[in-house]
Amino acid sequence: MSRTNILNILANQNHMTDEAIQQEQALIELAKKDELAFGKLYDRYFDGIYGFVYRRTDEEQLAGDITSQVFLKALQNIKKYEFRGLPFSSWLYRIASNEVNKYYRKKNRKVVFSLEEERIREIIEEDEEDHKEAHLSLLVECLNEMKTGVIEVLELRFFEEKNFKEIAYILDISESGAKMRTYRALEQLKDNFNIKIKDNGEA
Amino acid sequence: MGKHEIRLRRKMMTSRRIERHKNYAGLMKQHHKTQRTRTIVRWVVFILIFLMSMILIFKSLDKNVKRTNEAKIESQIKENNKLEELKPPRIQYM
Repeated sequence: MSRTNILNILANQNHMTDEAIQQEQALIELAKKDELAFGKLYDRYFDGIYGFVYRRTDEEQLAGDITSQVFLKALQNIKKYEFRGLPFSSWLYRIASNEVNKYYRKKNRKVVFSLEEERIREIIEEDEEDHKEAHLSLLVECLNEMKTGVIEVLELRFFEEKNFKEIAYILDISESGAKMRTYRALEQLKDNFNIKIKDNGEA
Repeated sequence: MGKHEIRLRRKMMTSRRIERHKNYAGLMKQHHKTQRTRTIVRWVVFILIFLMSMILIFKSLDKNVKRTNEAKIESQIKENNKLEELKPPRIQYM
């Protein structure tokens, strides 16, 4: 059962320019001195972090609670934050990832990845309009067989559109490890799907 | 089955639904509460450490005083013994 799909890797990634990073740094420095300035960072990143946590929990209220916890930790530790050439959001994603993992460890529950069908259709271009449902269920089956760590990388890469450097920082793994997990996952997917990658040079 | 479960969601999360979970005022309130608790805990720990160190200092001082007192008594006893030895033997008259 092999179908041709085109995988849009980083088709519309939202990377920050140097100027934007500098502006953000100024805002962070301000937030270190005046906690009221943290509000701007909260407004800017709340939706993104909530979306990430919701995708990892599939429960609205729980995602809201964990996201609040993420921002509380960020506020408490903002003085310790150091710029490492990555956007501030990476630091928040790292806290969010740790908080989600902590929740699953504490509750001893199965980790959930709730993926939007719409987004999957954006990522995977299909050459056949038929059998879309069957296609999706096959994809879910394939993803269920992969390791959780691999899904984490895929989620950050294709749903959050993070680059490998950011993924490595968020998941506390090496950059080569993040790349390796992605390529292995793509190899596994190639067993069932005929994938053509629309590469923009980085992947 | 692995240790995770993949679920498919038909609808994307809307900004309006996300907005419902935003509560910056609540976050600040919680932040101040935790800050206050941290300060109290810090002071309690500081006071406990201070008290412990004071107790240790008093105990060691007490030990030193006792030791010097014992040494004094011992040296006094020794001196007394020496004096006893130096005294001429008593002559008993019949």
